[in-house]
Amino acid sequence: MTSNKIIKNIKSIIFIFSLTVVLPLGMNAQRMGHSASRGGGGHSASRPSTSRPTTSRPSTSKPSTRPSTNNRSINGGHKKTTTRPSTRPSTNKATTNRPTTRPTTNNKTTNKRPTTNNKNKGNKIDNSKRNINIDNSKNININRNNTRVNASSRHYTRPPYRYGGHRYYCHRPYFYHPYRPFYWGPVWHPWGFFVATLATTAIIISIENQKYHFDSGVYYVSSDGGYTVVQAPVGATVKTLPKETEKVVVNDTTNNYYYGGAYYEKSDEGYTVVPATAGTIVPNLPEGGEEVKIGDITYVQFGDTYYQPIQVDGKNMYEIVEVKEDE
Amino acid sequence: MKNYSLFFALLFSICITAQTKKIDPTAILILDHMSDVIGELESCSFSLSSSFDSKDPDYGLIKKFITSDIIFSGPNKMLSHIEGNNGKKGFWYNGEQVAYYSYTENNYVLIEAPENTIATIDKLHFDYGIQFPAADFFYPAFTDDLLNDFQNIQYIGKVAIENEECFHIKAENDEMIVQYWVSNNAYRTPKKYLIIYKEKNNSHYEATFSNWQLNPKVPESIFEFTPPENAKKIKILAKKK
Repeated sequence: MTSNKIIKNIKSIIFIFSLTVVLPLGMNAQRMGHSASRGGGGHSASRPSTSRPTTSRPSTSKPSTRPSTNNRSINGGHKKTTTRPSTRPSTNKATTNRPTTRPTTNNKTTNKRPTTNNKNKGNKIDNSKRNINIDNSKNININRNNTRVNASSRHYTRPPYRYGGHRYYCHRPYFYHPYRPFYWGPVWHPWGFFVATLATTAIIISIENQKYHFDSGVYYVSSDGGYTVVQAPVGATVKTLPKETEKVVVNDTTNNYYYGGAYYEKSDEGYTVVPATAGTIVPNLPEGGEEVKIGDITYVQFGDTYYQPIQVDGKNMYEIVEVKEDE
Repeated sequence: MKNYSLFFALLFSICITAQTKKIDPTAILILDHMSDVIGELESCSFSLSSSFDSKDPDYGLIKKFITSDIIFSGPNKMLSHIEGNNGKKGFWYNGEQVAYYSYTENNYVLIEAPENTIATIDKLHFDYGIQFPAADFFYPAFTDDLLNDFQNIQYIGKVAIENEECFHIKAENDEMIVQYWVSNNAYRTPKKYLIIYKEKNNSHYEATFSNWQLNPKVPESIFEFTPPENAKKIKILAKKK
């Protein structure tokens, strides 16, 4: 045998070894380790890395000794694919022969991760960049990063809620209450609302070459011969805000002014629209959000902004969530 | 020469690992019997009462409890109600989709589901982090998986649990110790199990089965979800792939 041939053989053995050891790990990722079945929040998604025995598993497949004949079985029938130990073992001879009969892939099919996962059907959420839920029929698509969230300057004492590679930070505990959009009075309109004419009191504001009409705390852009309500553009400054505007605490030294889902900072020039800051608590949310279940928590989502339902002194409120990606 | 060294190193590690496994055939026999019966069932229902250690952000380490009522029928029907610290939830799987309803929040989501119950449980867990207590027992290759994942599986003996004689089996690997108690009856139904997580400060997860019904007649209609009045359909975020 030439040395080249020997090396080739060794490479083949190593290849088979990698297949038989690595492949089942991947396929078996959802079970034994019991992760799907442990129940209880403390262990969620914490499947231990299976320290599977590194015994080689040749790819020669042998049919199961008990063919499953029960089509109505709740799990397709018990699959026994390995040779069972026949005698009570002494400490070190137990299963040395067991894995040699285990087929590499047979009988695992029911437990494979479903291949439909990539269909992105149903009600999975499209995580691609998107703007707020403005009524698309008006075809208004203005993105001013209004749903971007500034990080909180306050330290979080509560651990984040972890889900899907993200950490969701909040200062207060989750307290569910249903999302019911709030209306700030007869002159306030939700995003996407269309009006044919504007009041004469409306003023024009230009931000990044986009002309806005501002009236009574509401921003409009021209469309279809009328005006459609849009989000408050970050950077816009107005002299006055409606009397329903509330002061909300951002941190020990900063307050924002909150009206109609928009956040303002007060300056000598007036009130300037700013992005939301994580940790800020608001009493109400406007129309345009949607409830989304993220693990065990139901947040209200506006574009990139997530609000966690909370309760403060017995009153239902929302805290802006700080979302960080796991490193 | 370098290639030979690698080969022998691999061979050596294989032999060493194989030799350190301790598998008790009596334990395997009992677990196989249990899985045989489960695999032959066309339907079943049971209740599960479980408890686990949890690190609470406000109170530190505390014990939490969950009760579940589960019904399986045929290869693709499941109804599960789970109640615990996070409220009460129901899951209706009709072979095509899963309706996940929160009684506590009165909202629900609909999730497209694979064609059988086990694949659906897997999907819900992997895509949405949803856990089904005791689902492991219903995986068709339960014993094989145990043999693969644990270095030691031992039969300890008989013990009475809630006035029922049970076989006590222990399985252990580097990360956890799992103990099973299987009823010493004709059906070898699982009675109780306990998981000790070595790498999580020996925290415990414990669950006890009750109200086993084997092959009950289950109307198909119970697996269809009808949203209660005022229940709100919401979205669900899948975990990042």
